[in-house]
Amino acid sequence: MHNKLLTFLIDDDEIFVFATKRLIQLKNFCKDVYHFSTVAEAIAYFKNHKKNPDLIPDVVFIDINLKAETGWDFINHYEELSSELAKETHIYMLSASLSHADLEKATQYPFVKGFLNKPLSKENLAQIFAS
Amino acid sequence: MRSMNKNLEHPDFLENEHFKLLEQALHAGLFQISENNDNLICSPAFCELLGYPNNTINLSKSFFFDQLVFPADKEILLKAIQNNFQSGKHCLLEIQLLNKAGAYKWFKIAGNTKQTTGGPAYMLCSITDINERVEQKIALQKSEHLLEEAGKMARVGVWELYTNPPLLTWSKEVCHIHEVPDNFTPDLNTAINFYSPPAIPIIQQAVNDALSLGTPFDLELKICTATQKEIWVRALGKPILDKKSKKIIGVRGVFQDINEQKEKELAINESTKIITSQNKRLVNFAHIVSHNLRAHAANLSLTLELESDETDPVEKTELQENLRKISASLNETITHLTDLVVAQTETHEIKKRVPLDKAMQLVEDVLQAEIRESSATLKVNFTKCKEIDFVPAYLESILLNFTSNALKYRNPNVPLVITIESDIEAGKPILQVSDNGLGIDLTKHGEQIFGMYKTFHGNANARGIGLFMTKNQVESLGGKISVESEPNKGTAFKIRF
Repeated sequence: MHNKLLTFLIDDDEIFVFATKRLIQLKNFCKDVYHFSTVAEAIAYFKNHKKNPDLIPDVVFIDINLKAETGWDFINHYEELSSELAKETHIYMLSASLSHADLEKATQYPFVKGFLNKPLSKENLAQIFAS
Repeated sequence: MRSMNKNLEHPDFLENEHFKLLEQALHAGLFQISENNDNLICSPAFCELLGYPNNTINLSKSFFFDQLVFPADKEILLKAIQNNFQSGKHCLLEIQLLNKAGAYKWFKIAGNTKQTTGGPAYMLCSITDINERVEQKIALQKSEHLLEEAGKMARVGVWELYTNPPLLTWSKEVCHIHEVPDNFTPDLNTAINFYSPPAIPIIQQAVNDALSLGTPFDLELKICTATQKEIWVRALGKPILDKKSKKIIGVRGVFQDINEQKEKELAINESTKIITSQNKRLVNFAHIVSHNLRAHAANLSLTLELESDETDPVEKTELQENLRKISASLNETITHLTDLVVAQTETHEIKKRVPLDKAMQLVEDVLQAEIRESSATLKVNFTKCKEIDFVPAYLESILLNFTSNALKYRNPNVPLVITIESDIEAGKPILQVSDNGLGIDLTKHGEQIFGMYKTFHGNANARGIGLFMTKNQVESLGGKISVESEPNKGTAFKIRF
């Protein structure tokens, strides 16, 4: 199974985080789920652990609409850091309301593997972790 | 004696070739009448002019006056002839005569008496065909009249400016538009001074350019009429070129009162602006609805999906708690949106004269605890503008919002000072609230500061909706709100009512 996988959830919606984290745990999709409520915290983590492949997440779910810096701000920061990271991360962007503009923008970034509508279903998660 | 007799029956013009040539050249016909009999002796040319071939009519003085002269002209003619016989006053009239075809034509009739010593007086007269000229004159008058009427209806007049010698003429309609008498003759300076101060240099430049460079102009400007009415006019001008030298000798143009159209145009532009801004707000609103409500709905379905898989009872209880939280959030979002709609639509809310110090007192009462806790100093100064026409509830809410934000985002290392003052700028009241708190990085967040659910400092008790509501409340009543801030220096909000 994919028990070695590390997943990040970057979202300030507590209920969403709680439910998604629990779902992932119940289905054993990965080993650990870390949660960050702001982009700043998440980026700080990346900077601190960029040389350690075990501590870098394999999957990151990030909501576009965050209060201070947005999901796109995270993408920009990540793009700058990506060359220094010890491991590649698959990033999935989430939103409660998708727009075509957002979808198109996402395709510009090779490390953004998907753009999903909330809520994430079991099937979504299964697909994501299978790859 | 013999010459006199000869003359009585047989005037010179009947035989003399010179007279005949003259008649031909002038389109004239000669005739002679006597004072004391009914004889009228006329030349062949006379008959021809009236459409009768040579000498075919039996002409008598009475036939001429009763049948041929236009009835309305008869009396004037008789009088003129009488005057001439009696006092030698020259007879010269324009009358209509009936021709053979039965149509009245215009003729000039002239005559002068020849006194013969001791005998009756004879009058030598001529008629000249002026029909074409008169008909042209009548047509021209009709044209001019129609033009004048058209000008009156369209409120358009014409004007001409010559430079050498300087002469400016205005048509009647231009005078009407300026509300001056019909015979007003302005000089260029007076004419230009009718325009509104900002328009004066524009029209001056335009006239100068037309005179020196030959550039035509078409301008919409404001003038102030003689009765102090301000109206919009359209002034067009084209250079006048001398026919021979092709040099510019003046400018002529058209002047139109477009006040009604211009005001309609400005009103439409204003409406368009309002509609565009309303549209923007509507789009904003729709986006908020779709995003925020969906976020909660998504959580609801996610939580329910989880519930079916969850085995741990402790977790299950937590899930139920979450369901309650989601429900509360949904309600809250809907309440916010409702408030937003109310703020947008209740623009007919009654504005009242609100004394600012009373409103501020209320705010200070509500925030008593926080003010004390933070040892904040409030500097309140409403001397420059004591009252504002606004919805009382909104004004209190605005003051409350700004003050509580200042308290929330104070700099922990600097004793908080909040300055709240009113003023008058350009005749309109303004309110300024500034603090020396944490400030906001406007280069990063400038656009989002008034957005819904936007916070910047990670405060736990920051909901992010206050400024959004404030902006909506201010704008829905026609005001404007702006902000200046520097991180760690402070923030200043300014509202223009």
